[in-house]
Amino acid sequence: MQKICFQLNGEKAEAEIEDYLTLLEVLRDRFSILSVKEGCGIGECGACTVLLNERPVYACLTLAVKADGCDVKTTEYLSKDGTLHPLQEAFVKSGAVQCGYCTPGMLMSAYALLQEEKTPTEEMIREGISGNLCRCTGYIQIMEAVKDASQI
Amino acid sequence: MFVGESLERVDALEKVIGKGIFAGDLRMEGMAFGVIVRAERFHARIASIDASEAIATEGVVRVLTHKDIPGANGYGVLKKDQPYLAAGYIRFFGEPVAMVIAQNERIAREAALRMRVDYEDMEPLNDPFLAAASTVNIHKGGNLLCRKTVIKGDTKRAEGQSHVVIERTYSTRRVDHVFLECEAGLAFPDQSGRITVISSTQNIHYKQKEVSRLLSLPEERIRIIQAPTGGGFGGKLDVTVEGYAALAAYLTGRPVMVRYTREESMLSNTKRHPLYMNYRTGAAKDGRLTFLEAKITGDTGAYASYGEVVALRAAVHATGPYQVPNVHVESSMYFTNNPVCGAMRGFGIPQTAFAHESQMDLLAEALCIDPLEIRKINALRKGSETATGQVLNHSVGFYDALKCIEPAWKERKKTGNSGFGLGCMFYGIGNTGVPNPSACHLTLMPEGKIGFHLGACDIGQGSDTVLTQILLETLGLEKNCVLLVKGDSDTTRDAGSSSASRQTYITGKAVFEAGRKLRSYLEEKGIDKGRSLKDICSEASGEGGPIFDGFFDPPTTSLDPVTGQGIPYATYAFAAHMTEVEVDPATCVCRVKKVHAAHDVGRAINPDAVRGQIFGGVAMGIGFALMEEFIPSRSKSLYSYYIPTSMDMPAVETYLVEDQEPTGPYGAKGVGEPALIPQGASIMNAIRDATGIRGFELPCNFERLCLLAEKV
Amino acid sequence: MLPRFRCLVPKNKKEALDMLKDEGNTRVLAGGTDLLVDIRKYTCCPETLIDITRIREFKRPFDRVSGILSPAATHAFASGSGEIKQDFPALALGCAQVGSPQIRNMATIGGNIANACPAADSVPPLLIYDTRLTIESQGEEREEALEGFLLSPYRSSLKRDELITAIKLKKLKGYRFGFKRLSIRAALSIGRLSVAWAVKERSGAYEDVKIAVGSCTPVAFRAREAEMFLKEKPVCGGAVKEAEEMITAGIREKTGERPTHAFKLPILRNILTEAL
Repeated sequence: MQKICFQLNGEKAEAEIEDYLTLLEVLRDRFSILSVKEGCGIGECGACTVLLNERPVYACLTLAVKADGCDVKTTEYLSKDGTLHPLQEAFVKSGAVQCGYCTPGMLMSAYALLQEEKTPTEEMIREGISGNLCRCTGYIQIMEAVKDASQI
Repeated sequence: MFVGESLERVDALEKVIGKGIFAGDLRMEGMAFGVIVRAERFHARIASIDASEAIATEGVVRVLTHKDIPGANGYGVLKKDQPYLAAGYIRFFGEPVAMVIAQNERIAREAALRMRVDYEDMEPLNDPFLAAASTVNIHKGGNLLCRKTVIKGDTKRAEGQSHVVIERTYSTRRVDHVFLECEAGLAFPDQSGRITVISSTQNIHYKQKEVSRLLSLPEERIRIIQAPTGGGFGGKLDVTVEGYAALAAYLTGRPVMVRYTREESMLSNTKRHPLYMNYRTGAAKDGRLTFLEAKITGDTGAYASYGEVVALRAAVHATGPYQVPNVHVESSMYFTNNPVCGAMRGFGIPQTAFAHESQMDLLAEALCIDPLEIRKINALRKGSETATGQVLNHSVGFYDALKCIEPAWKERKKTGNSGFGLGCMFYGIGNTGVPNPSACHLTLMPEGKIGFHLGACDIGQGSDTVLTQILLETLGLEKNCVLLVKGDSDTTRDAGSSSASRQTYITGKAVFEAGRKLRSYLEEKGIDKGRSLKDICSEASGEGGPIFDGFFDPPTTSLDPVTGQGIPYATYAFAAHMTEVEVDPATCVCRVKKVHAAHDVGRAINPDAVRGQIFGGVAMGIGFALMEEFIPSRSKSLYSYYIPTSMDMPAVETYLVEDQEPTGPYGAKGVGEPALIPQGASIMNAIRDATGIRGFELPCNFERLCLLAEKV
Repeated sequence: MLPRFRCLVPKNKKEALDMLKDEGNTRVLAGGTDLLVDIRKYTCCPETLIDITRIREFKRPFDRVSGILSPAATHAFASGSGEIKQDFPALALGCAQVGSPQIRNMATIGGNIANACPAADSVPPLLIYDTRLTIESQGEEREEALEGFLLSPYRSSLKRDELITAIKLKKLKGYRFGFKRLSIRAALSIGRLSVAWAVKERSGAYEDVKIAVGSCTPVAFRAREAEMFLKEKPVCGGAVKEAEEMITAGIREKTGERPTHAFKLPILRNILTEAL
């Protein structure tokens, strides 16, 4: 058991956790952050993507103890103040959501990209979401949404 | 105006703010967790099951085997031959043997590892040709599941009159659905002893029937609710977790969650059928097709699932979207000790499209005719007769689809390593030659809204949005007048499965019918004369209030059992794709650069949603053609089974042909499966154009392509 | 869900080495992108993980003067850092093609080396730069060339209580560099064949050539024999073909005949032809 303290979506978070728990499990089971989805558990699908110190990582392959002292952001952060982030708006408008299971992880990868690069090229967008699988959309409307959001 | 508008998805908002709550996210007081123990054997007898260590684990509630099943231990859409828990006999790698129920997931999974099962291995039959020849029967009735035939005219005579005959054999491999959300479901008993299951599914009413058989309870004692579903593609049509969760909840009297890991999903889920297709196609000197003979052999795996449906659909669509006067198709499915193959987007037709589209290119080459030209010459059009003798009188937009891509085709410029290829398809909407109805109903709600009771399952394709658009258009009311009451077997009628690209066309028509009835009622009550909806509702709502039902069953006939002649579908979708690839000559790696996709959808109710289906279909087609190959016992998770990433996607130009279908709602047909079907075929033809090499086996990854190149 | 284990988080090198000495069934955890997958698959069942990413001495990812990379430097750093791109371009190229942005943010160079996976993407570029590893255990320190460090798939000379503490690369001046990696799809994939090269030419002849090949043999290797052979050979002419023959023959010798050779070896030859 270890105690971890971290920033979760801008707020202080603390938990006593078992060493073997992943950040995915702790976020879902201890903090009810259900936007973080498990799609494979082995870092191959991206549904669990969260930002750890502003960089996208797979929460399923990140031990929760690694979050100690770090900043963690999930999709909930994007519309924390009650209004949709431009990315979220663009996802709705562009048809970037079909089944929606990949959506939160996809949003976090896209958000991280836009934090780093305000006006990414198409190639950068493609690369930026390359760690997030989507089986429904063929990615095109997702890439269109990221592009739209980047121009706001 | 709602039809033809790209309305935002009704569920997009909750999904982008992280509030999309899927079945696996559900929690309940006292909820236990169930884990299935699976045999990692292809073919075996169970010698013994020792659950003592598992049961002794603290926190384990109960361990179940087939002996605990109160009702029938068998499910399946046509044949109820697949056991929930093996009764002594293992037919495929991953077959369920027992179920461990524990207080939580960790305990359940740890205890499941302590189950001791001993097997006596038997020689597996891992190939349909072996199964056909073997004296060992996987099932009592033998290894042949079914043989479907479509026979028209005289192919032998036509062969004599052909200028050229091309014979080739094509094969495809097993493909996994890889919906992003693995199967999950929560079942719980209520105080009256009814069992409710909330799950990720493509059909609720079918599952209600299966769970009722399993538990030996009347259907009205079972309630199935569809949770938001993270993709289906056919893989959530069969019973997945519902049976196990329901059984466990029934036997333990508490809520039970069953949520598969990706590894469990891949072990248990049905796959796309590998088909071996021997094609002989003849043409006259002017390019007109004279005859087609096809012998299709499929590996349906250990249980029947949708094998018969795939065999039949493959046979009926074997010609592709072309007029062929003489046809002889034989399509057989064999049981093997491989994973169960079932429904997957296209039901066998992405496979046959690979064959018939390669054949078209080979004929064009032999006759020195342009590949687009030969397709135009033979294209099904108004008045054409299909292989089953059906005359197509309306909504045959194939020629128009070809015309859409013609400019791009004519302007194509082959540079060093690039190549261009065509792929075409037609696809019958709805089930094949059987009644295939949808029902829905509308009520008036006291708060002044229309209750839209919809049993159709939105699995991501957007049926909730599209069907709402159809209703709004019919009613002529504002968007916020409708309250969707959906996916619950208690409150909705059977709208069939979300499969066979049928929801827009069939359920859409039922919605249209219900909407029309309600519209006339509202008119009667004075909605056009200034009376508010709220007023009408409050007068009429509540117990005994009026119900407006809609029903549609597309006009089809059964098919002749020998010749396959008849009207299998009321309408067909058509498509033509043109694909540009680039093949690195050093590495044989093929990248898809650009796709032009033209689809006759009858009417695009929501053009953005149609585009979304096409893009998704293109992606899945790239996976099918270039990377996806499920190898039993080796393809364990997503590290050993690849689907396309964003980096593998080309630019896609879409063209919507709207040759309206008179029996469809506002002329609409369907697009879910058509989007995928021609893509793989067009890639293979493009590879041939780029490299001079024609592949006859999918997936044509760089390894296979390099081996072919080495042979040349 | 992962099976149960303990995870220790040492603050400095000494603490880590003490833990490695004292604890029984341990594994070093860095990015976790390989290790945690193995643990989930039960292919490795440690009782204790030692997370080295918080070690004070490893905080600085790269020291330009000495050419030393921290074992905890991530692939994202190695592919994105301007200094690495300038000083060790083949490494930057190789690391840029690993997995996905998330994997690159997590996975470390030290982990990629220590895991000794035959398909490790950073290894062929590191071999090009004659990388040497500093390996420490409680009270002891040794240095070893990466080339000799890798023994067989998932096995290296690293002892149970040892830790890679520094990765030293040798700068190459006046070379052109390249890296090519083959995979079934364009991202998130395991390399089926990877080649890194550094080539220095002088007046139409090869002055020096370095070639490293991964995913082909039990461990990635430097094609020393072919490199020697190419020295001073004219760039145009049959030498390259002969060198390719040497390399593929060497592979056959190492592995025996394998079905995958039927496509890997011709592709490798093609890549080398393009590279040289």
